[in-house]
Amino acid sequence: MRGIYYFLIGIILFYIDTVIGIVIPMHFGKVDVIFVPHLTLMYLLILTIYRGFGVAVILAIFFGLITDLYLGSIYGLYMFGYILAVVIMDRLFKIFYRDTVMLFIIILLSTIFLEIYVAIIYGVIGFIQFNLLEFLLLRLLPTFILNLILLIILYPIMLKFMRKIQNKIDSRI
Amino acid sequence: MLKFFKNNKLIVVLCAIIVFIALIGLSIRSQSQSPPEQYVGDSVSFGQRLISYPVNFVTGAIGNFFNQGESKETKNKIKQLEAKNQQLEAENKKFKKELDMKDISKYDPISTTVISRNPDQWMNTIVIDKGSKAGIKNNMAVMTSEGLVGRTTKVNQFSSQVDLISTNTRAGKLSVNIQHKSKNVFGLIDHYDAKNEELVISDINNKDSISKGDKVVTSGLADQLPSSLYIGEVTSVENDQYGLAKEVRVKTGADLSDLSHVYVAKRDASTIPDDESGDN
Repeated sequence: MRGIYYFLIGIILFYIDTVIGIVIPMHFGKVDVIFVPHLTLMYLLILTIYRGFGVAVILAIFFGLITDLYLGSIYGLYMFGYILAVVIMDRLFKIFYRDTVMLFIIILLSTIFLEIYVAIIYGVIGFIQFNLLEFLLLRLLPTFILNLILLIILYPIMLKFMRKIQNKIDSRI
Repeated sequence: MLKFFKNNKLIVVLCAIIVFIALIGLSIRSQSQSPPEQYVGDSVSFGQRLISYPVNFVTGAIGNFFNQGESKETKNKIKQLEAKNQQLEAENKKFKKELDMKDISKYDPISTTVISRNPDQWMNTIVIDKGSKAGIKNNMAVMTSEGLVGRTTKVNQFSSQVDLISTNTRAGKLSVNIQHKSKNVFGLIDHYDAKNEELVISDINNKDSISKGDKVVTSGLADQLPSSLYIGEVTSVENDQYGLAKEVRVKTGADLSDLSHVYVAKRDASTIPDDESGDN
């Protein structure tokens, strides 16, 4: 039963991701500034730390698949990306769960890591023309800022929510 | 199960990489949507609708508020041109009937709403809210009132994915005609130059004369695309790097970054060749 809550929240965040994709203006004068929201990934990483590796990986596979089938042009791209991020988080950075600042930094770094990973895969296949300076200035930097804002909103809500669910489960037992 | 993964980490990782590469190959090659893909696409798009329609409504209202009031002069001009166009069209139709020619520029527009856009903006794909139940097929032209914007690539039952002309995916080359005075010059769109936001048509014969301001339209030689859909205007003509052919840059008529309502051009069924090959 409790799994359904995590699942539903994930779906809502996935939709918010796509809606942000429609709404955000992509032009500032002549320059294209690209904001990429990564709410789903950040949610998965928070789950990895506060809920457990198993749930996070299952949700990572699920949401990765959905993203690939619904929006993507290459299958498996986001699925493996999400799984990789969750695995790295679980193996290397779980110790930081008490330190909020460190946690923020690591979650934001993993969104950037995912961006780079996606760019590399697309670049290898030859779908995009890669330009390092533009990639850094017009994509990574704005994405970092957007995700920082989103994470500041998301994190307290998630913590509250998870505490509530845990309490419910404890009291039931 | 988990124990197995823990004991054979390296093997699992290697297998995952192999599966991933296989999947990439599969997805680049595949042209039609299999039933499971369609189910996932449709069920996700169902929830998407609940969220996207209100958002579209609100953003549309805000947009309207800011650019209200078209000048009267342009409206008048448009009306005049419309009247003239109607008259010419009627005449054209009559002559064509006399000559017994098939008109491949005829199409039925299917009006659709954009329900989502790929949030990672590498691939410019959008999802629209109508699918094969409404008569949409693979590789149909998608347009706004300002011109062609893309082609349908993944068609589900109730939704479909559109690759905009600014993506360099498998949909690949689009055959176009460049209208220079009364002559048509054939060309293939090579790629989209994201930096200048222009389409690049390469390999055009040096003998063909093209000048700035020429109109570019679809040629209608591909399966599902009707002919003479407006794409854009030529902004510059250059020699390519070896000087053997011309390279033409085209500014698209439609604004690709802000799409909310698009039309799918369903070509008149009688003019489509019988043997549909599926790939372009």
